[in-house]
Amino acid sequence: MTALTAAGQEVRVTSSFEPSILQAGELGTYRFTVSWFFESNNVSIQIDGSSIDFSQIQSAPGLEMTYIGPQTQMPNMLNSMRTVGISYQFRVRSNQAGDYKIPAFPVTVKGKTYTVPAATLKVVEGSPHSALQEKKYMWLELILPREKIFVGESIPFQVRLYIHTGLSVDRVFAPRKEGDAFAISDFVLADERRIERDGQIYTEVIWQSVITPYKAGEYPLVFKEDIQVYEQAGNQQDRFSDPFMNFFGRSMFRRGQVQKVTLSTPENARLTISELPVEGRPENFTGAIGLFKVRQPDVTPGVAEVGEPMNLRFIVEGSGNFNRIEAPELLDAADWREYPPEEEFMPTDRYDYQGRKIFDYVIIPRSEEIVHTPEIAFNYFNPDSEEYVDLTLSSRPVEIKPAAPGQQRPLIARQDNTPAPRQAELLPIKTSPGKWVASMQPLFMNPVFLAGQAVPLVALLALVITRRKHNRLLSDARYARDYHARKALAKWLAAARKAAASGEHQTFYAFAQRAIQEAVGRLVEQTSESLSSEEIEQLLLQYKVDAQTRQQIAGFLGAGEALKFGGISQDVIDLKSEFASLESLTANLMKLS
Amino acid sequence: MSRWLTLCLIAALPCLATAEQPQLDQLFVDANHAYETGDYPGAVAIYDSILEDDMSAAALYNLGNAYYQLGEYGKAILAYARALVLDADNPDTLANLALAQEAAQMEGPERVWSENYAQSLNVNAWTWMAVIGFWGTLALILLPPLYGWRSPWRALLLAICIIALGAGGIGLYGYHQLSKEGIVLANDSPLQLAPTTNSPASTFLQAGATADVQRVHGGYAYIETPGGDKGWISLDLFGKIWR
Repeated sequence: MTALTAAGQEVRVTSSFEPSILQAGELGTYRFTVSWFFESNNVSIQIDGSSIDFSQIQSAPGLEMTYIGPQTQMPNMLNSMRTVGISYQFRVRSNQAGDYKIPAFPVTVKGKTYTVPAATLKVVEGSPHSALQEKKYMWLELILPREKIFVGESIPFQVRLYIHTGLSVDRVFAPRKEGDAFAISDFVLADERRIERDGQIYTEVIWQSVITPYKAGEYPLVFKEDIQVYEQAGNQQDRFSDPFMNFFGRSMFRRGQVQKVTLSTPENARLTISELPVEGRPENFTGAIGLFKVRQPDVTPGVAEVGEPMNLRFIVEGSGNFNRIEAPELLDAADWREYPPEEEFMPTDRYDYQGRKIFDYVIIPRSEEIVHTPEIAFNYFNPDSEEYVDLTLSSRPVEIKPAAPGQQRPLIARQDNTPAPRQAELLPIKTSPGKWVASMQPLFMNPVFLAGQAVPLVALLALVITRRKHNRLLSDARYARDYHARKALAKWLAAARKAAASGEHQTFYAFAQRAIQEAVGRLVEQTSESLSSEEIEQLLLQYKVDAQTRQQIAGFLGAGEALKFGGISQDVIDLKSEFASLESLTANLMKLS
Repeated sequence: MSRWLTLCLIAALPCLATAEQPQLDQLFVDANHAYETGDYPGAVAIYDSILEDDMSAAALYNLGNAYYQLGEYGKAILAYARALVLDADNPDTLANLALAQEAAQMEGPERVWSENYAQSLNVNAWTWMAVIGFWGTLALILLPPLYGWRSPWRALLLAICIIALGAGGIGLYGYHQLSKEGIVLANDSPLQLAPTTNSPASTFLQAGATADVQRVHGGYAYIETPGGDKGWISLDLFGKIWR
């Protein structure tokens, strides 16, 4: 054993039977515990079990008590205090039904005396088989605090499971709801203990939750629980003389069997859900149903300028449907710009049924003439008295100063209660429709407009190209001669083709001569029509034109005179082939440079 | 034959358009009558039917008034904003827009200088300015050397065209920025994480709030608010100013 030595500790002593109810002949445990509580973690803990004197403990008559020994408890933290303890345990049993009380007795711990409180054990007779047959082994109960429930109300309830201690069952889970007219929050396991009913011992498992009905009317509310029941150990069966025979009309178990049993709260139970009464309902009813109280609101800062945000906070406390409470309306708030409040709920239980809700309004004064905050219209419906309760909060004094020059409106959006439009300020509608357009599509996305941009583009290109050509003709003589020669050549060739087609030999050769003059004349700064055959021959030699071409040119130039003076007969001349030769010839001459 | 038929149809198009106008004008008068008699939902229905295929700054302005009277400030703000696209700087529209924003407890969006600048003229005016400036600049750079223009007016005209091109270009850039803008139409409109009905909301927007559309997918637009919130919003709850 260890000894506990630390300064500043607090000692507490407790005692209990576990379980608190036994059947006759069943074994149980009695224990008393000495616990030390420390505020500091920095203490050295040593517990010496032998230093505790409990020699004055007295057993109850008829109760067998056998000391088992001490058991040290693991150090623990409780309410920010460190705890450590030691338990002294006794095995207990009684073969006779009755209440067995171990009276309070003193214990001495390191020289100090403490009193162990009294503890009572209830022992009941094991019922005969026939008596137990008439009773239930397991059942489920629904416990509602009230029979009349209102739509939207949150109301706590319990589902209790009872299992005879003679049964061995698997771990049980929270029951499931059947019925769609209600919402329930998650179940919380509230307690698990032994109880005695009609001389039988049951394990009672209590789940708690909060139920909220959706709609008015009469609706079933049923909870179901699936339980795996195991076969009992041999000695238990002996003790109860197989109490499970004919359970539910047949033998419930055979050795090694497991059976699933579905329990249900009464299936024909229907709840009547009522609408909230219309009579007396405030216009600005918040939807709160329960029992609430409010604290006076705080406003911060108490002094502000026009347009400067202020915070108005108030707190609702109590029990009820906190999650359905709407933000209370601010009364006479025309001189204020108000915004939906921030809401914060702080539950004090595990069902969000009890707690407090904080509403933080942002309000902005519009006028320096304001002297107090708006009133807050909080109200609720009390389902017990079935009356609406008005808890309108009075206004708080404030001091509002004129706004500083150039102050801007805060960019905060309100979510509801949009103010009524100020009719007088809205400018009237237009009586003339003005110009109709096909769409809001801008001009630069209109395909016609985009295609129209080709017009200035083409015009600009035309101006540039023609002007550049014009300028070159003026500045480049050779280019100008080539340009004009091409134009003149085209003209003479066209005339020659015409003459050839009409069989006018003299005319054809005259035009052919002019075409050759133009094609060769562009090579010299001389008027082309003044070029003689000799000058053409000299130029061709100068440009190293081959002899065959020169001879061909000479043939064209001399053909006119030969025809005229009878050198050749026009019957032997094919003008079409002559024109083809002329075209080819002039094309070659135009390539000279 | 078919060529002549086509030409006749093209020639008749302006006549068809002008034939439709009296009908629009009559609907406009009917809508105004509904408005004047306090039948604002009826007025909204007629204005909406007119504006399905045709646009008029006056009709949009009147539609904004009707929505304002119904307390639907988000839709009123959208209608006024669209009216300003067609008739920039209209003082009546600006005044009623400010009133609707006041009623919706919304400030107008903070704009960069190019957007404010762009709103000083109609987008088509900026377009013409930019186009004339562009072609004028090009012509005054390319043609004078070819034609030998040495007049001092050439430099002055070139400067004017360059200024017009820059001014129009900036105006169009500003309008390009503005063209992404849209208006939240209803209070507590969810800004969702995905463009689906069941997607959770990252935040909720209030009627009249502005946001820039980044892209559109199905019936949802991906938007960014001036506060930096991004997400998808149903196009039933959000209207683009330019459509």
